[in-house]
Amino acid sequence: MDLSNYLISPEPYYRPAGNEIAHFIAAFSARLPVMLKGPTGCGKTRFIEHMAWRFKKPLVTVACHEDMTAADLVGRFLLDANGTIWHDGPLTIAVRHGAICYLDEIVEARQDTTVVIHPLTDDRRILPLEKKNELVRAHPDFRLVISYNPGYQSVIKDLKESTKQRFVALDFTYPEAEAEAEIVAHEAGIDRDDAKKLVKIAERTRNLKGHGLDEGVSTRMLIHAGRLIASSISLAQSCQIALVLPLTDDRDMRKTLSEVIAVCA
Amino acid sequence: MPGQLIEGLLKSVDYAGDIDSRSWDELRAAFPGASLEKWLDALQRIARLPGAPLLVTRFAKASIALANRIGPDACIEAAETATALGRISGTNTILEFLAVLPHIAPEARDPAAFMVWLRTIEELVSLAPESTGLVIRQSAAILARLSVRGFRSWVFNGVHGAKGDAAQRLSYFSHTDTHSLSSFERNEGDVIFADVEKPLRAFCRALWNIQPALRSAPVRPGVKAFRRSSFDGLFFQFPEIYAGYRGSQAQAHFFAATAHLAAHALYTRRRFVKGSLRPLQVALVGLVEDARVEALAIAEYPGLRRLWLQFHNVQPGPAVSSEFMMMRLARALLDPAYADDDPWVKKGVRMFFDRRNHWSDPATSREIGNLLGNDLGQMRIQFNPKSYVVEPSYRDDGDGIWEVDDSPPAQPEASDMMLEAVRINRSEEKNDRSRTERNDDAPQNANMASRVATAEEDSGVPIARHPEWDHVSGTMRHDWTTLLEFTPRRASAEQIDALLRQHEDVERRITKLVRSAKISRPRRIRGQAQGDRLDLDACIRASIERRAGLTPEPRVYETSEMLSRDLSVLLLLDVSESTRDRVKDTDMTVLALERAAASLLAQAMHELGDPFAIHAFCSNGRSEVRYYRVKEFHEAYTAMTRSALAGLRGMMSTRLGAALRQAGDEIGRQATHRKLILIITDGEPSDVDVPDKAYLVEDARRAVHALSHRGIDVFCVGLESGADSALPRIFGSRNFMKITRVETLPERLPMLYFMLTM
Ligand SMILES: Nc1ncnc2c1ncn2[C@@H]1O[C@H](COP(=O)(O)OP(=O)(O)OP(=O)(O)O)[C@@H](O)[C@H]1O
Ligand SMILES: [Mg+2]
Repeated sequence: MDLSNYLISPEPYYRPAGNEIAHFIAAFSARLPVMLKGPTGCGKTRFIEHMAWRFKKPLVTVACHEDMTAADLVGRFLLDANGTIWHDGPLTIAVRHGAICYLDEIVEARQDTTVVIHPLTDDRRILPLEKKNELVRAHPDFRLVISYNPGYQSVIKDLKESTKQRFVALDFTYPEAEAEAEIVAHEAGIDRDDAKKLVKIAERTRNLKGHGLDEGVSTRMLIHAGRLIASSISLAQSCQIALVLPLTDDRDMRKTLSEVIAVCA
Repeated sequence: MPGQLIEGLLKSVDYAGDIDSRSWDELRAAFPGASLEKWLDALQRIARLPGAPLLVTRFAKASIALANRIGPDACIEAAETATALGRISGTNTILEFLAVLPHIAPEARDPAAFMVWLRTIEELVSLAPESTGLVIRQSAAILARLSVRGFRSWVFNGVHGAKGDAAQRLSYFSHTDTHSLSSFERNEGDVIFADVEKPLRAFCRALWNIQPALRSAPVRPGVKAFRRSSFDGLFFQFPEIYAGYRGSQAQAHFFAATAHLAAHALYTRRRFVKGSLRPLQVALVGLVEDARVEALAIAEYPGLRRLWLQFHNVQPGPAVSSEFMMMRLARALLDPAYADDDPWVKKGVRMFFDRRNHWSDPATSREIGNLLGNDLGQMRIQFNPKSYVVEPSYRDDGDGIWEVDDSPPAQPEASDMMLEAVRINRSEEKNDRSRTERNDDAPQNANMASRVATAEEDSGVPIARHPEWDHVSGTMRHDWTTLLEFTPRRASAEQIDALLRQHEDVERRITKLVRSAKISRPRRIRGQAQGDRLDLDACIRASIERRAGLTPEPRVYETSEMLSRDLSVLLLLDVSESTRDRVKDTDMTVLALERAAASLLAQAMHELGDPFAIHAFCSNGRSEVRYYRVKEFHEAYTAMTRSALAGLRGMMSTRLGAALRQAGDEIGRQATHRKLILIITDGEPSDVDVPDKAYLVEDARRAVHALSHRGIDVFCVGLESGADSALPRIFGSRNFMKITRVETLPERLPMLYFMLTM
């Protein structure tokens, strides 16, 4: 099967925040499954795209959701004119043909779905297709990467201990102020001064995480605000529509955020 | 609803016959459809109160007036309040309450306002039972003058101002003068402290990562109201309202005041010593210090300049008074665009900016203020230190930067108030210190209300005997323990509220989780004969069957079904002596955290609509296992629940098995499919008459087994740090969770609940 569609080019821009590239390369070479942990919009997806590009490996991404079943991952029988035909799911495709399989937001999937990855993540590196009665041995290039946002929902939705312990984890946080400003300036096409102001605002909102906000402003949100500034909307208004309004419906919190923005600018 | 059914319902309510038939007609008209049924439920509750026959007819009468004016729901809520009153006050108070309802209705104007009034009365009865009747009688007259929010602040001003002294409260509520009333009123556009308190707190946290204690200064009859904020380290106190500002400007004014106090907290750091400074110099050092801390804060947040400048609007003019000169200097130090040719002002500006490299040193302010004060003094324009008020109004009263001991502050009450604030915060700690004095009956934090409520010492009512397991002989000792029920005391829930304020985010998370638990927990049901979607796997199976020549299975659809919750919960709290221990690195006791956790959890269960009860226990030998019902399954969750929680005190021992058996009997009567006992304990069972450590452990284990046979789940939250706990042995390690950092209990308990029940 031709996976060239899954190859990434050109190079996705990625600004390292720490040693994550070196650590990922090491884990990749050792064929260890990797878990990317971190809040939403801090660059996990961008990172894996960048790494797939570096290794010139195809990247199969699956966005996990609550209703997802094991069949959605491994595949199922479909019908055609002559009878039934097996159709590989995204995971099986990556396992057979040697791609990086990226399971985004794995906690969203139910625990009984997630266990199908267990045999892939230990030394066996196999994927049993029960329905089809086949045992797929993983291609040497197959890698498994999952992302995981340890937010509050983890109380109800959490990874099984036996799943967690199969991975090495890279911890992602928002980049340092300097680096984050560079990213925002680059991605949104605005000057460094504005980018710095945005980052300052974001940092202040992150102080409110767990105290009125579930999450602070993410890098992704800053890029959105930046793009609005780039199309000549004022900084205050850009922040209002790209940061404040999406982030919270609480009137008091909106008031606070607006004051914080006014004071930072 | 068919008429017959109504008749049937009527018969089931005691004393319903006392209501005459004309009233019934009016009631039917006032409570259309299903609301009549709800009202009958409410009536039933009233009928259970002492003094019932009279109460029932009065309630019916009040209901007609109320329902016609404000709507049927208001009556149901009012019945709730009446029940609450009945628990603490006597029949007379309830009668008074029912009698004023028709008069309140027109004054309250809308249902929401009426509910606020009800809630205020409910809270009042637990805080100040002696004054409740007084307030009820005056309600209509006061509501004629004040909005319901004004009424509420009038009530709580009286309660808090009296610091737990019932006599003082009585005098406050009986000496209502119209003059002082107006200070509680709000006009359109008025912004009071409570409106902005939350945003201000978040503002401080976001910008400076500080968590000051924010308070408003209570209004006292006869005392001049505070016009300026004041601070003492991280205690910030604000006037209830800043006169002269409205709407968004008034909000900005609170933000400006907060930012100014935060700047002091960050950059003033040490208090100045007045030494030999003259009053004018003191005022000027304060002014320069204000400018200095603001300049430093602006260096980090340039937008603060705009926030503050909007309140500086003085213009140059002839030097008529020192106050006027000082306002000009204050503006000149902050506003680069302000031009003032007065030599004194110019000198001040020059000195201030010449020393910009020394701004980080507070001594700069003293030096400049000293010189400028001297100069201004020599200009021989008048200065009256008695009437001097710092300008502009967003700045603090100026006392917070001075050492207090050398001269009495201009507003003595200000520092008083601060101390009071500190005291409230620390009361739990004090409570702790006194724990050696076991006989000290009233806990220091419980106010008069709790004493009034349980005037005579309660000796408990025997409610059951339970067996106990003797592991040595392997036999059950029948009727071995005696359960005594004690009425929970009531106390001010202030402390719980304060703790909850620290957990605001948890409350919000809970609300979110509740929402998702209520609506978005669909379960997929496959292989249905009808449904919203095709079940892909079933379709394929069916096609295969068809091709194989078999009759295909027709059920190829799938649907989603909302999971219904059919669960009751009994929260059982261990309130033994050891719960009075202070939690490491905090000034809170284990019990204080249990209370806060319980009230957060209660809120979650209440919102989910799960029937729940909160009980507590401790023991003093086998013949005195004390059992407290903080809230029963059939009771509504109200402010009363929290005040009963607040009244729980830690004492005696932990005879776990007996309490579990009792809890099992209590929840066993619930009709729900699932029954869960959630127990919070801080250690192993023990009791004064049992030397053998293993005995009570084995007995409790036995009790848990028996409960699980009856289909009752038991889950234990253990608050302990020790490694070798017996609790896993009692409950099984799957039904046990250890919390080592007890201060996290309030957030972990509700989360645990969601985990257990979803
Ligand atoms: N270190 C970085 N280098 C370059 N771009 C970045 C970096 N961090 C974040 N970004 C930018 O932020 C955006 C959001 O990041 P991304 O989509 O990778 O977030 P994520 O962590 O995967 O979030 P989610 O958990 O919501 O999927 C990216 O599109 C990219 O523009
Ligand atoms: Mg992503």
